[in-house]
Amino acid sequence: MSEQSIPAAARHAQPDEEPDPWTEPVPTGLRWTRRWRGVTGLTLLAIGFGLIIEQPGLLLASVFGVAFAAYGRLGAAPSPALEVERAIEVTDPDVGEQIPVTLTVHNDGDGRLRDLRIVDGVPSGLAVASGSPRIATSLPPGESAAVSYELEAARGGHTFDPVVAIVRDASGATERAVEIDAPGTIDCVPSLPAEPPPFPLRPQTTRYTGRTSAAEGGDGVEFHATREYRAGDPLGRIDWKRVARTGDLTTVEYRRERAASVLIVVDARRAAYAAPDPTAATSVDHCVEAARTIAGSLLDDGHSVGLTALSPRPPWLIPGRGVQHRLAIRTALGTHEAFERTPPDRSANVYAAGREIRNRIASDTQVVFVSPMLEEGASQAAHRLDAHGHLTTVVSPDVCVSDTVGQQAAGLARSLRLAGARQRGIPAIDWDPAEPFARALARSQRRWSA
Amino acid sequence: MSDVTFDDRSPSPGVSATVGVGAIAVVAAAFAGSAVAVAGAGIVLMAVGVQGGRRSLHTIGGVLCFGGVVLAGALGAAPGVALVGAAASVVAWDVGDHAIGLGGQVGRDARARRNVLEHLGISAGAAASVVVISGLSYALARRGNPGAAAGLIGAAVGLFAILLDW
Repeated sequence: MSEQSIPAAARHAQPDEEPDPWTEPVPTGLRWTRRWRGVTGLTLLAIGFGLIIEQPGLLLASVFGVAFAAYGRLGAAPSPALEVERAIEVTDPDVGEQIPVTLTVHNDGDGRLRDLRIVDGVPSGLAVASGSPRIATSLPPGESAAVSYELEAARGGHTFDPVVAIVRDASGATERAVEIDAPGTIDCVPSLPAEPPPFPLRPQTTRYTGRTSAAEGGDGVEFHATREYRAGDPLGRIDWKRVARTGDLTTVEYRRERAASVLIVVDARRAAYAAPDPTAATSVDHCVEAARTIAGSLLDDGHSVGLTALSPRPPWLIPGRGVQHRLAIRTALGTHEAFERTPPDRSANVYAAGREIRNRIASDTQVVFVSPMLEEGASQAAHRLDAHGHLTTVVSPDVCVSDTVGQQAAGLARSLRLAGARQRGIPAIDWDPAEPFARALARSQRRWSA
Repeated sequence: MSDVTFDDRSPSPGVSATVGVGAIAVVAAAFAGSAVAVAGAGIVLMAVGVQGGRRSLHTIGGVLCFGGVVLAGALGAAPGVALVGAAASVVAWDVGDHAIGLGGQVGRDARARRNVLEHLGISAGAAASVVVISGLSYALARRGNPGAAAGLIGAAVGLFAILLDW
């Protein structure tokens, strides 16, 4: 894998990237291949040469060339009558699972298709793991040909494109390409992790009981403070040793444990997309992976969790709990168009998106902003959300590489953005996707507690 | 995001078919050493071109192979042998070019043996028909009817003029 700088890598993920030959569209319709042009020219030369030197053998050989060139003009590629059937062994695979696919093509027409080439419409977001989704064959009427290959499942909802059939006439002088609809979908929705690592939330809680220590005294486990006894305080909370020592009645208060309301905001703007190479996971893929772990961890801890994205096509899940809500978050992270591998066609306005987020969530909701922090817009989004009272935590997968000076500059700028966030009191978790996310979480908590 | 790289080189049956048919042209050019050398170089270039999916190299090889047969004919090879040699060189080029086209559209890893063999069979059949008809015409002309040969040339030139319009 050749690694590149962030700006260069970002360009890889843009729509004008070099076309992938597996998924590049084939022009349809009838066209001349013009493959016989050279033969006619060569033959003319040979005829002239043969006439000049008056050699019958040469002349005869040249006549053959003309006849064969004319052969290339006989007939045209037939219109194929094909029926295709695609068998997908697993339609809801796990990430990385190999999915066997078999495409069967049946010649329903009356004529033999002497030169038939089939190209299956592999979804652009899936990789061919083994075999080839293409075949070249010859198909008599009533017979079938099958092609088998395996795809490697990747997160998202994937729809197969139409099958392209290319038919040539016997000489190959003309070819006709047709598209044949063969619906097929593969939905790869990764589960939220079963035993996620604890996520360090900030001390902004709701009035509901939960597992996050609030900055207020009351019922709980961890010692918070002592105060003067008030009538009605439970006897068990009175500090009897102090009473014995001084005669004063004091009440012990513990740190209240509350549930938090958290909105996970994934940075999926056009500017946030970057990848070391066209086949590698993008920065948004890593953001979604982190968001999945965070959501699983917070939901397991009894917090209310919501999900949205900075994107022109954002999902909106208001913070909530429960099995249905968990499933909704899992599905959105798996298949929502905001998190597709390809970046959106247009950019999203950070300020407008921030305003909409603030309008939609309660004032005591905190934000976990998951972003590669590749440019200033991401920093500003985090700062503004935090400044408006939604305590924000930044989680940033590091997709920067450092092979060239430009790449090092891009990586340095990202580090400065994270440092700037920390200076403003915003915790920033820097995650290298080469290591497990849990390790980055553990490291960040060690630093904060030190 | 394909992990398996698309290999646009020709399917392997294309190489063996090209070399196999081209060998006939080399044998036909065996009338003179220089002709064999030219035709042999052509076969090598065609094989390398088909193997690597490089159409320009394959075309140069085809021209050399045909040129070797033409050279043999010019140096006095029997008309029948030159005719078969020319047919073999054109069919070899045709099969190789077909395989290169397959490489571009379905790739080296796709199953293509049946397709290549069918194309080879059709081309060889067409070539054999042309060889037989041309040979018969030539034989008739040699039995005292030069008008047949003149007519053949006239038809060839006329046909070529039509082809130029396309």
